[in-house]
Amino acid sequence: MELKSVTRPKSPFEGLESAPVRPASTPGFAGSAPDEASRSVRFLAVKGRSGPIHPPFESVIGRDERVRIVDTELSPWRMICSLEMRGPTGASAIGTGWLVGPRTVLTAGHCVFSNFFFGGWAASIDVIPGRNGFGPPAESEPFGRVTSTNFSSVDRWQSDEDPDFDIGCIHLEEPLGETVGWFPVGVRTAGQFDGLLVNVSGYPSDRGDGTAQYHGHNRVLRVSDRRLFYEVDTFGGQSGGPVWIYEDGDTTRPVAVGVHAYGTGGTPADLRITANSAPRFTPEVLALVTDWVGEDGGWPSP
Amino acid sequence: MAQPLTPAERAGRVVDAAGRPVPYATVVIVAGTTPMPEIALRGDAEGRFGLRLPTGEFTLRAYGPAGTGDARVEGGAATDEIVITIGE
Repeated sequence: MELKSVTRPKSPFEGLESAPVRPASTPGFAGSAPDEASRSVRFLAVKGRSGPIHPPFESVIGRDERVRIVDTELSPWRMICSLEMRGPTGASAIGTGWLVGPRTVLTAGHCVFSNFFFGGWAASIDVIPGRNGFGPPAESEPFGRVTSTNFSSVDRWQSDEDPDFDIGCIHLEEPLGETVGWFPVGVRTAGQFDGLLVNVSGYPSDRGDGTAQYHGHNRVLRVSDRRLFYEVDTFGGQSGGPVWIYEDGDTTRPVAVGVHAYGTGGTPADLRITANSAPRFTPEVLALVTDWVGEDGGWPSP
Repeated sequence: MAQPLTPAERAGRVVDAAGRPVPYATVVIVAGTTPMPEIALRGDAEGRFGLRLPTGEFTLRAYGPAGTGDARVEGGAATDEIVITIGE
């Protein structure tokens, strides 16, 4: 299937380009800001099995196992951004995004385009990398905030709001990624998730009022053609956050494999599982991400 | 006449037990008969928010300094104001 990018038009009826399939991963970068091993690295999941499945409760599955990340000025947490979205009629919402290039933030499609929340495209979005709770911006926003009005999504999301294609992009004028770094994005087969735990981090509304970053990890329950289903606890506001793995036991190199977007209610009933979910990266989606980063100037040469 | 693809925006309001507006509360769809994304709406200084809901039944939960409150609402063509009371 060929997917097309759609971009918030600056003038009506902007033309669309087709997207060729490209290699199965994108480059990552840890950023130029001072860095050290995060104390929170012990929370990161690499490989293994979690405990038993608990009874369902909304998007927190059983006991809430999310932990607050307090050293958000360090990698990989600083690549993850609190989002404050505004619609054209003044509607406001909060979500999560993450850097995939120097000037490109990936998020859920519904954070940039939603008939239900914005009546179409969002009007503007504030991007706040590594946001760390309440308090004066100098302390709680270690890398500041930037505002964008330039967004893209997938044609199938814009036309149908199909959860399988719920992926969007925020284009930045400022090269925030040069400071905080960016995640590599990888396409992995269903078999490659066998035995893996996935990490999800973002800015939920039920804890920290959308200002504090919370992380969880747990097992992958199911992989469909376009979605990943997992037991990681999440809540509203974490939409758009990265779903990432570590391979070969290396916790210095995350690989993003999906965009968190749905709680347990978004899992098709016929799967008969209690899971939260993310659209996963396929070759077609990776091609779009590569195009979006290219529109913003691309990745620097190695 | 066919139902419009997206219904008109519904007005919503978050109030406390005394009926006073709760400024800047967040509102999340925590349950529903139709899948909805994990986004959180942010009310304004007067506790007002707006959204459109597809056909079905939904539970909205508001978060404010005094706690949480739920409201069960019908989606689709319903036009009545959604009021969520926190701290009842």
